[in-house]
Amino acid sequence: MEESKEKQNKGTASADPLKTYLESTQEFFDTWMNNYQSTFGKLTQVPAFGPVREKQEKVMKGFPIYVNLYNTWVESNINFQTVFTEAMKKTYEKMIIESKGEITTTKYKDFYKIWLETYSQTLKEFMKSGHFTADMGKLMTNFMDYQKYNKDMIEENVLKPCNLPTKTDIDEINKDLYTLRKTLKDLDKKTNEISKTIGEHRQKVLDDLDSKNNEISKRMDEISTRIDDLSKKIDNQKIDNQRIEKIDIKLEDIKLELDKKITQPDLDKKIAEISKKTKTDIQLELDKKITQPDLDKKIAEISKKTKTEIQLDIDKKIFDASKKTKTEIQTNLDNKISEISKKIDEQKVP
Amino acid sequence: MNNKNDINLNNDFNKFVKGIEILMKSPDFSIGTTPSEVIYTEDKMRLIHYIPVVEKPSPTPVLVTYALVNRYYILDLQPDKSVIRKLLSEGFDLYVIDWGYPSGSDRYITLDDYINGYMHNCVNKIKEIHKIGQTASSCNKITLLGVCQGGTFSVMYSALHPENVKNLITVVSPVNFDTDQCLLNIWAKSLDIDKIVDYYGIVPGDLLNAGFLLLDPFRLLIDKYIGLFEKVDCGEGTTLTNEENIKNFLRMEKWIFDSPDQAGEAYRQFMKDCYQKNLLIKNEMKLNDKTINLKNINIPLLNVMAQYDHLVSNDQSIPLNDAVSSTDKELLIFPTGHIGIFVGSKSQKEVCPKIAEWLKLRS
Repeated sequence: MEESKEKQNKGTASADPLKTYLESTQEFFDTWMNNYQSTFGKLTQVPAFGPVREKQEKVMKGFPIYVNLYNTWVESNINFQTVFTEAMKKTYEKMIIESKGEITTTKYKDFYKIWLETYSQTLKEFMKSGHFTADMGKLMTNFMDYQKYNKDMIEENVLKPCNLPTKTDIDEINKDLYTLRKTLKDLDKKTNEISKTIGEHRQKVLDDLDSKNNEISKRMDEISTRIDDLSKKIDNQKIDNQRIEKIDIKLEDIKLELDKKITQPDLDKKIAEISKKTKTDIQLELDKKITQPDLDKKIAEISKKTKTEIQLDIDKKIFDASKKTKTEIQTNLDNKISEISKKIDEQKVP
Repeated sequence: MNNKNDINLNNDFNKFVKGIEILMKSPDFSIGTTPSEVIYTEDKMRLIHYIPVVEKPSPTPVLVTYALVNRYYILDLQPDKSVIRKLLSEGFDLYVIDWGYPSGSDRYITLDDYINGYMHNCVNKIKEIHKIGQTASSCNKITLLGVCQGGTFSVMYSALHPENVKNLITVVSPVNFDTDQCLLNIWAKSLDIDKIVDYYGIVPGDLLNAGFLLLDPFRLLIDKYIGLFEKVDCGEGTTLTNEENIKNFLRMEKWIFDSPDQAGEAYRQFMKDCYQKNLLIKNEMKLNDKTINLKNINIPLLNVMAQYDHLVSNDQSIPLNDAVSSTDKELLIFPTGHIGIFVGSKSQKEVCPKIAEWLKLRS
């Protein structure tokens, strides 16, 4: 207030009736304010008592709030009026100069321009000043306090007793709503992220499966080819077995033919003769009687008819056998040898 | 009064009558007429896509972000002075964020919600539409064109999500709030923002508008309306021009007083951190505990200003170019005002072509 008073005094022409009026207003208001603060203002600070203590305290709090607002409003108002007075004075001075000569409609427009520019400029300068900024800040603060106090009082004394929702209640709901919305958005975002991750993972798994499937198919194809090869080999093996069987039959035939040529009585006789001799004698005789060329001749005679055939068969057998594994051939040979040995042994028995 | 005066008075009276006649017809002064579609909504926010007018638009889409105070359609106020139309005709694919009108339930929306929520989701939506980043040939970034407070938001977003931004264009956007050139900045320092937000919750747009009107009350509340009738020309065969003049006036009038209320918590942080503490330019401002470091911006930057801007003085925008780490950066100052840069005569002839020229080389 002192500041404002000082400001009022600065550059004030005491002869200016408008300024004198503003000064008087300021003076009156200052006196009123001082009186208020030393009397009723103090009274409002007295602690309340009795059953309506709380309510009374709240009501009493309203007075300083209202007085503060009124105080800043009057101060701002006086400051504004001072500025307007100054603007008016400047405009008046400019208009006196402009109004010389004939007054035309264009001149009225010029007057309007002077008024507009002077007022705008003066006000702009004032509004840039610290005074205005401080006034406005104080006025807004006190106005907000006043509005809040009124709102609180209406809520407490009117809305609550009528069981009506207050702004405070609504704001609580608004806050919940905001929080819920935010949570929902966060969840939505997370769900999308998870869906995206799952989608990506699923795609990856599907890709892997596809790749594995392709690999398996390829392997299957390879296995099929192998099976085909093996089947072919088995078929060939079957043919080989059949051929072996045929050779066996041929051998059997040869054996039978041989058996037919050497009759049993001859054999018995021979065996009896042989049995009378020692093994060495027999051997010697056999060596004498059956010379190798004779034996060859005999065999050749016996086999004369089928020699070529037999040779071909044997060649085939050897050829087929060559396809078999060494073990198989060995086994077959062993079997054959043991069979022949057995037969020879049987024939040797007297 | 002589004859000349009589003629002048008669002319003025005729202008007034003519103007009133046009106003009495309730002229259709539709705004934002450029064909568009809403492609994404979230709460009250809408993402608008303007239908491209060229066969093959530029591959890098442009997201235009406007301020929370007043509405985005100043960029598409009238067909012959539409920034949107001009940029579309230059071959750009444009998206605009419409923040909507916050109401009671939005009082707790924060700056973080606006930038890391709505704006980020819009960017992602655009990327999704353009399948950006999904193919080897496509780029994974878009261009941000921020206007006024929307430019400040775009700066914040670019610093927090540099991976999404290819180019940054700011138009009349403040980043340094410590100035004595603008009344708003001076006044803002004396306000008890907490008390205002705590009382209102949703800060009334009308309260902010009162502040804007107070910047120049005589011109904005008196002279402007007197000037309206001055614009009406009663010459023969000029009715259409008169009507268009009135329509344009009404369009601007609608826009000026179309001031959405402000989400309290976002307003609180913007006013305290930016206007009162000037944290953004100091790299000390935080959104959801994450510090906004302007040095994170290393993309091409075009900083556009209006020389006679009474809301965002040039000294509020210029420091951006030094604050970022970009090497490709440019400052453009046009001899016009904060609104004139969009709807003034320079807008279509100089501002938009310059922006388009710069952007074409980088899209």
